[in-house]
Amino acid sequence: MKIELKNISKKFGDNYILKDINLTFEEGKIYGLVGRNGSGKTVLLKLLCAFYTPTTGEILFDGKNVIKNKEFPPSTRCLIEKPNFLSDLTGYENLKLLADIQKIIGDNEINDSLKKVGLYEEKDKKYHKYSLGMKQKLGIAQVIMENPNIMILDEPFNGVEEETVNKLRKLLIEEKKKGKIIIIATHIKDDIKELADVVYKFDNGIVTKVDVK
Amino acid sequence: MKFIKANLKEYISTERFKLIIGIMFIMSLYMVGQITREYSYINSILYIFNDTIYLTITFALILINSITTIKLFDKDNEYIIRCKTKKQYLKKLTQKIFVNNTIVFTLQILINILLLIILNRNGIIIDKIGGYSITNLTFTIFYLIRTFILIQCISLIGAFVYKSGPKIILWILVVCLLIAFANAPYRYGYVVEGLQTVFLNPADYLHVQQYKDFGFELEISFFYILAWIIITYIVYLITSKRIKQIGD
Repeated sequence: MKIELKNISKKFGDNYILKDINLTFEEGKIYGLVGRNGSGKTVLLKLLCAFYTPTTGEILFDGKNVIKNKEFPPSTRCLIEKPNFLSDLTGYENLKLLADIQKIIGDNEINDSLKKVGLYEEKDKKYHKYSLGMKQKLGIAQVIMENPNIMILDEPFNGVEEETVNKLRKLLIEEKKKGKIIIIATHIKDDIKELADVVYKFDNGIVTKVDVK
Repeated sequence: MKFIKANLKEYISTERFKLIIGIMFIMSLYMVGQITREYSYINSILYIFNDTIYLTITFALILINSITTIKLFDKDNEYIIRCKTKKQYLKKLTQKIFVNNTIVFTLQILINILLLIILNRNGIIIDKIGGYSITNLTFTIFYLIRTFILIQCISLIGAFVYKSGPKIILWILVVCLLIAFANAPYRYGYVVEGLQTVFLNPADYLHVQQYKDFGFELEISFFYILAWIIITYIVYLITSKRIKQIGD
């Protein structure tokens, strides 16, 4: 799996958020996106999810322009901004609801993902009783549960306690080793230091590669 | 069933929904206050829904409800990314708008009935409706179904335009509809006798008008509504090809 962004620009009104971006995302790597608020990180993530259409340029998933074909990218899951679960359902039921859309996994995979993020014991608690960190963990669980090839995460460790963050970082490294493309937008320097193989810095619509190692 | 219930509960707990119902309640309270003692519950419902201002506000609230539904669903990134195509996304969105508008419309009728029971206490008097050989109950059911389908179609078209085109087109559509509503008062003494005298303005179908007989009104309404359903479907197909942005 490979994602190629060719001459991507995105503007809202007269304001260019991204200008002539050329990037490639390859399997088996974690990509870190850094930059101040409003620098275009989330816009890029939404372009990758096909929630937005580029003003110019094209995004190719294994050479296929899914956005032009009015499709969503194949085997892609995301956690952008805060997760949007139903407060009256339990953590497990929320995942089940999502799993039932494509019906590619069953109860075992849902429970496995809950175990991986450390939420299995809490799976029967109603979502509105979850703490901010637990909500974020459930958001990560829905990303990994269907074993997607591409994982798109926006500030995934918001509100998660330090001990769990380390566990989740290890989990993402394991997923990377399985050949996944993982793209993370973050403000946390440790996330970049410990996770990212490649880092892109966003500034005034321009994206530059940063040497991290 | 549990999932549907949880979805609905989530929706009715939003501030926008509460505001819509609040406005509906105030409108109904005002309208029920206007009704004299001679009107039965059934005739009162017809009287309320025939008020031009009440109808216009109802339409506006249902359109706002549709757009609120879009805004809420568009935040559901986890759900949307699991749709394979934008057509699948639009189908789900359309279902949600339809269900949420049905809830609002049904609640509106229930609020009216409740206020009539509390404030008027005139009882259900089933009687012949003027000029037709059917009862007022049968006519009211027919009238509410026709109103429901027309309002659903128009608000769905508004929602699709909001989704796919420049926002200015939606505003133009809203202004056109308001003009249409304002130009379709109850035409006292006017009888629709044949095809050359049928109405084209949708607002005329939201009012009670006299036709030569009920069968003729039923026939004309069927074809008119069918035309709106076809137009709605065409706009739906165009929208599924034109969607560019999901969310703000």
